[in-house]
Amino acid sequence: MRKTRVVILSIFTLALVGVVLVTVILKRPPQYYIQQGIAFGTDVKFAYATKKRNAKIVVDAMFDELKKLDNIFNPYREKSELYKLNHSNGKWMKVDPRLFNVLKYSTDFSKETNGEFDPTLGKVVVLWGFNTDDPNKWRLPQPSEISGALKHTGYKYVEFKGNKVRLLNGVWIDLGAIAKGYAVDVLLKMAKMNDPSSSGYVDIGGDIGIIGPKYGNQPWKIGIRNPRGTINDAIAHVYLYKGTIATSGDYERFIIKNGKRYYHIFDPKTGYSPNNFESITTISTSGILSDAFGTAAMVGGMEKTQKWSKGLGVAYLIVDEKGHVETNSLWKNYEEP
Amino acid sequence: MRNLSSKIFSRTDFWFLTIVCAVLLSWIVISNISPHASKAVILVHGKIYKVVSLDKNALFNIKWKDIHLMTVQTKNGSIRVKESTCKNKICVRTGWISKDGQSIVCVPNRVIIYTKGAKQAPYDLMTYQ
Repeated sequence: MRKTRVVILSIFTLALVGVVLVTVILKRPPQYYIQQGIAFGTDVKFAYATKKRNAKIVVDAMFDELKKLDNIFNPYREKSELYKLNHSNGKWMKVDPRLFNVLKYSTDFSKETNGEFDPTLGKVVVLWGFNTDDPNKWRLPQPSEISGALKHTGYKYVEFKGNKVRLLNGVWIDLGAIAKGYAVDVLLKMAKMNDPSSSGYVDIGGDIGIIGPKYGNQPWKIGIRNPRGTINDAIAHVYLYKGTIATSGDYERFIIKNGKRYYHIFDPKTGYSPNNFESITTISTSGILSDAFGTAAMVGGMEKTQKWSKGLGVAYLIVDEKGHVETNSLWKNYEEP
Repeated sequence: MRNLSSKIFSRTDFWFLTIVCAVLLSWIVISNISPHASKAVILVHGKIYKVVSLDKNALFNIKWKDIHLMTVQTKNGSIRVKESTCKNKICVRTGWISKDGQSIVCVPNRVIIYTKGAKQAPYDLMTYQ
């Protein structure tokens, strides 16, 4: 009898310990490898968890890739591919396939938005000084200077032949409205190639891509910055299991002259910044689309934004010039976890 | 039924099982409590420059290669950049941060400050222009 009791007691104790152990192990979330740094001219943060136990190697490779992309897309770095293209004096130039693809995407998107989005405003950006981080160099140019710079713009002056590109009419490319979003897509691909079931996010200066749900099954809660609040002040939240989110706005690179705000996004028709929205936040399946859409919307205004969003399946939250918040029906899908 | 169970489990067995359960419960509770106090991590040029407690009030300078970059202040569980040599002053305008998920970034000086072990911000991430 005593022997039976010992056996039953042992089985009972082991079962109890087993149940608790399994519960604790299953409940424990995956450990995210988190790395924060400055790259691509902005602050960058990656969180990555993978069963392959190589998260640090992958995240390091992602940072290296960002440096490579900066060496291609930064138009103000003399050794970059884009700088060389901007100074190629209209000659055909063989460019890195990544630059070729982004240029092609940009000009296609320009056509789709009837030129409201235009990657050839480089000379206008430089004229206003918004290509630098130094607010002392941001200025309101003379109307004659603006009309002079506008003569050297127009996406139709970007031509493609095979794997070559040429820029006519002295246009300069500035991919500031699209490069961060493209980088998000590249890094998401890297993370998923390493492990399709991996989880985490990439955040390149507020352009965010979701690698996989938080702890495998929960959404990431993302704050939308209040355009007239402090940097950590959110005006709304969304919950993302996947996809990308980006914001365009008038609140980081701007000057105020005679009571009017001028900022770093320009209407290709006028060379001045538009007065439609304080900010727009967009959600879509691709970082490059989320990024480009925001800039086009800032220029195009409400009616065109509504039309484009239906065609492209982009969810948006707009803070208009009076501070009113407006969202489309797709946005509602992300308001609850 | 009572006779049957008293035949299988004696009083000693009952106390033994109670102790096993108590130990397991304590372990679960301890493993779920964060052992960290509120701290701020300061990265300069991608490397950890300093980890400071947010429980103490302090004012200190950050230098890189003997060049002064900024003055940082901690007070009442928060941290801010009080003054910076950068031109755009975004880091100064960020103001106080006190929650995990928030950070202060100075791109020109290549400084990042974030909290660790503090209360979580009401979001995981923030999207901005």
